[in-house]
Amino acid sequence: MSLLLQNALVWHILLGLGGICFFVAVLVGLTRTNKNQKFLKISSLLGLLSFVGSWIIGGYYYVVYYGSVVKPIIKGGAYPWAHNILMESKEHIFLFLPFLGAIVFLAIWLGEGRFNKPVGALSLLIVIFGIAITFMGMAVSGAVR
Amino acid sequence: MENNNNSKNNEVGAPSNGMKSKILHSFVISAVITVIFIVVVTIAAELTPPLKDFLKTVFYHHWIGKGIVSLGIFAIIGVLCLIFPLGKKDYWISFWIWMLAIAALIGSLAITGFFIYEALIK
Amino acid sequence: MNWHTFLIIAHIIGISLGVGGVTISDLNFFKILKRGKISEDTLGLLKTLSFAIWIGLIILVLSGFGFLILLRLTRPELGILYNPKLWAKLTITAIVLFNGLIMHWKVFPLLESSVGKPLNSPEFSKKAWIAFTTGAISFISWYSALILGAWRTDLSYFTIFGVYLVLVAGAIIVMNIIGRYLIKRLEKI
Repeated sequence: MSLLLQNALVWHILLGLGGICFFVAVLVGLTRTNKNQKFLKISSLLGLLSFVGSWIIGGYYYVVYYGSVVKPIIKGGAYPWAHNILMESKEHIFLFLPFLGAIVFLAIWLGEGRFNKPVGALSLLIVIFGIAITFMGMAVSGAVR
Repeated sequence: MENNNNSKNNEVGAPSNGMKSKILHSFVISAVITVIFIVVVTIAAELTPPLKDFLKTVFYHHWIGKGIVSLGIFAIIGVLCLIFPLGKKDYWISFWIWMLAIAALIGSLAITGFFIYEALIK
Repeated sequence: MNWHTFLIIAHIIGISLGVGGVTISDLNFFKILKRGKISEDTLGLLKTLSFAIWIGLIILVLSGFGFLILLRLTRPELGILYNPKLWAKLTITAIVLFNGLIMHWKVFPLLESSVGKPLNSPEFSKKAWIAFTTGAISFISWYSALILGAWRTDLSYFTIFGVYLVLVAGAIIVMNIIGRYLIKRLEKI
């Protein structure tokens, strides 16, 4: 794997984790009695940007390297389900995240605190998806042997 | 720290701040449609190889195609909803955000279930 | 200093903040119950400790994954990503996260509404079990993550997680018994 692709993989993971952390921050911010709108706005913006960054960089790694080099190894190895189930699910569920993140961002920036409950539910879902996608990614990566 | 209490009046159905609410309302509906599209195109592309090939031909890779088309749908429907006279009541904005969460949850289960079925049962 | 050393140090900092924060928080909470009331200052301390614990969790997660990425890229033959102990640690870390969210959602508002009021009030007594339960889960989870990080074992995921669940259940029971006893003691004073 070239240095560029290694960096792509690393930044895909770090930005994805960063996105999860920022939406956890949104959730914590929403539970406060006195909500700090500035904190919520910055967290939601950074969360959205993190996921978009992870999407683009991960997409580059996926299209340029994963399909041609990694996928055949996994499918021919001891854990073909790691690609057939986990990677296939992960790569499509991940497509939801930028749109869900965009709505949390818009609701916080434009909603003026009127939609905290549904935004909280959506943020929780983003965090759950993020964690599930992270675990799936680990299982896919670990199947490359 | 800014103190921001939810306005109960707005939750019940009073008209809310004009353009901001309209933008939010439009793009929430757009996001719901986009999420449903992602689920449908994902499953359809697996079941209909010509669709997957079409996406690959036009966009170099089927996954890139799904992403770009999803972005396009989100943007176009969002803008169309801005032109269409949607209500501005907070109730409906809340309703669509909840619908988005439900659509995403069911969609993710559908996608995972489909790939489990394809890999293990079929 | 290489990346490996840097990440180990960061991971230790993360776990120290988490375990230390949780220990002091829980001790303070029982001190509050013994005293029978919570002041603004004590609530402020609990919030500061909570902030430190969250920072610890973020450092822990980022450094932990940094460590995994490094091993995956440099030593893929180790098969670390399918290590059962690692998956048990990850599951417990996820529980720490969701438990923390529940604490912010339910426990902190309860404590905020109880500032300056006696803690043997019906409102606090009725909802105190949430504080005892989340406190127990937090305490066991952080210490479990610490122990699993240091302990080299070949136990399966289900064995490790099973023992963890038993410890959590036991801690929840014990914390609730002690907490109830302290509240009842307040009623008699």
